[in-house]
Amino acid sequence: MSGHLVAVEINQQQAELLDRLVAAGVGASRSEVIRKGFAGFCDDLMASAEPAE
Amino acid sequence: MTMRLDHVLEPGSGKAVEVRRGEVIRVEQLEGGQCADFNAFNLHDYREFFHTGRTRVLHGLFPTTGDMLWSAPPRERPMFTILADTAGINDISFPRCTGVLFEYAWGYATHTNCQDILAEAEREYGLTPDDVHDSFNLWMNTKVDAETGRLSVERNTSRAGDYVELVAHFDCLVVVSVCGADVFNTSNFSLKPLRLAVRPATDRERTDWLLPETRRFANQRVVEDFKIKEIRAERELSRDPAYVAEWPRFPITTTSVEVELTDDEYRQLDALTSEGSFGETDEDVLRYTFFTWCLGHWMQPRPTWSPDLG
Repeated sequence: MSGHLVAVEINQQQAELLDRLVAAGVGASRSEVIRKGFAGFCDDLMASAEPAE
Repeated sequence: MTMRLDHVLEPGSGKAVEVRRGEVIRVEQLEGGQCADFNAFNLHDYREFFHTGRTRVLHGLFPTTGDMLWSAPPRERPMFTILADTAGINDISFPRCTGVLFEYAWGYATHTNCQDILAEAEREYGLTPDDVHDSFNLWMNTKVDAETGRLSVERNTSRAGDYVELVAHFDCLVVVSVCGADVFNTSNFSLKPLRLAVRPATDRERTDWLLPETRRFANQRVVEDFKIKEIRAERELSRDPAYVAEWPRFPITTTSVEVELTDDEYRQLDALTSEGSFGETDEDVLRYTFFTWCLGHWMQPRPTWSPDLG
């Protein structure tokens, strides 16, 4: 990975949610969960922009 | 089917009726085209009452068959499920009509209105005009302008014999009024009688629709959870000098998570930040898009309880 670091501030309740997603296997760490969620958001955005058949 | 109660609501009147857990209340058009206002309270604790806001968010602006009527926070639990709705023109956006409305709009010194009719009906159980709450408006044909968000009332299309039936999930006091608005089109500019009836739910209805009495969520508060359990008797408010705030979660602390993005991901983030719809900085956009993704993929579905779910 080329390593563009972006720091995201979250509060303890949001951290709790992230930890649950880590426990659910979404990613190995809070950082990875956020990265995967961002990638998922971009995929969703692309899919919604595609013209309906 | 044998009704435990069978009552005709004449124009200008209302009625408070006890509906026990497992009973079905039916409101029926006798002539058609008449709006009814519906209030409901926990029979054993009137401070728990029907909440239009929670119901609106969970079931939309026009609750119908299969939707539930919810009590207000902090109790926040299903009071009724709508078993049948033959016309499908109910509303949950408009407040009850009031004497003030008819006074300022038309200059009436006295006019039939749901606030006063419901208050008078509820008085039979010791409730006051302050206890009347916004109604579930049966047969109120409303529309929302998608552009402006403004509400309007259309012609009442209900017909004689149309009915709404609701099964009670706990013992309730239901109060129904014949909406008094005859100089608005709510009831097509005339006031007509309605039938109000209560019957036991059938075995099939109990199996298919009746929810367990237990709380599903710890945050559905009951009086035992309250720091102050007594209902105030005084009207005047005064500060409690011994008060010390005990917020449910305080203070809010923050921590920083460093997220490592690939070239491709960073380009996408940069593009979204430049576009500006999701935030002004990379951090804002990353937080906003991540939690938006969570909402779409990880949030629990809205509660649509069935007896099986417990």
